[in-house]
Amino acid sequence: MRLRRSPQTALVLAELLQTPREWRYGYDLSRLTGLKSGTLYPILMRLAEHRLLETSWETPEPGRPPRHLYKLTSDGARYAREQVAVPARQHGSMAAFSGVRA
Amino acid sequence: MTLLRKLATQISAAVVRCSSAAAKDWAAATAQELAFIESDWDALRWSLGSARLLLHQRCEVPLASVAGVPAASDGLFRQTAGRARGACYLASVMALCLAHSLAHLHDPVRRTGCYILIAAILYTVYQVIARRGRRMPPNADLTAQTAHYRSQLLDERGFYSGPWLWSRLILVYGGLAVSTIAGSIVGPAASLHRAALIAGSIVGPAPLHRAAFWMVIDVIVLAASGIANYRKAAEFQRRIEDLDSIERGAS
Repeated sequence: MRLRRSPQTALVLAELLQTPREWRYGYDLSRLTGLKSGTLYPILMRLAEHRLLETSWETPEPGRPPRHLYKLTSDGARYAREQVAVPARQHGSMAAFSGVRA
Repeated sequence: MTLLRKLATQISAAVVRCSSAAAKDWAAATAQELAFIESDWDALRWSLGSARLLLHQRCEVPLASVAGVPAASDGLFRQTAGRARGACYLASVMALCLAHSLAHLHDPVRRTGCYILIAAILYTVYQVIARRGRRMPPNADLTAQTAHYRSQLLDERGFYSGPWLWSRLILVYGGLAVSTIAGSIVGPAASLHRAALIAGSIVGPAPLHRAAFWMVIDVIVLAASGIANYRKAAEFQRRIEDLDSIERGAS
């Protein structure tokens, strides 16, 4: 199955890959990636549709609304590592081409 | 609660209400996050951004295995049938509006533009009906069902790209260009303006300004529809590639 590759998707994957076993909140992901809700959530939805992202609702606590949580699945973590590695390789080849040493 | 915060909450609630079943949970997720955003302006921006989830209504769940082909094919058939119905209603309304304009237009250039637009509408309706998809043959085995689904996807990709798309766009924008740009330059208003210019009572090329304005509008509309069609074609190309990879995995 293919997922549209975009710099924004790579950003989200890289951020989720920082702590692949921990549940993350949407607003925190938005702040850390700099993506707006209108960009972030469609990406999260596509990742979930491709079964690369696990979602869950927080257990409700009194006085605090439950929040939606996100975590990479094992397939998602593998996919994220591949995707995050691609720009790094591209960056390396660009640097080599321009004669800059990394 | 401040006015901005109230507005953000109302927008998020509206997004949740209007979302499709598939996107409702996600819309609710964005709405719940509002309580954790400190700045009111950020909350408003967040809720406005979440309105984009409303566009997710027609997203298809990707095919996971060949077993999902019959359901996907049926979904695509219903989608194209719905599009054909919608196009017929819309074309009827547009044709009525154009017929009304024709009754009041005496400028031959603009009338020609209207005729071309009516032809474009009829041609588009013909395309939509001709490409409305076929239902899966009853009692077909999985191989036949997969082949049928592939032909549906190829038809849809063809509808949004290649000669089908370009013939449609050329006719629609030909009509638009004649009725707007050419109408501005050689229409009766332009003739009056030229006469006034010759008489020296006014200064400046107003018809050309109007033509330039319409040209910009037409180019923007043409570019937007070209991009929208290209994106749909790319979506169907992805689905064809998904089906290919699933078939390769199954064999």
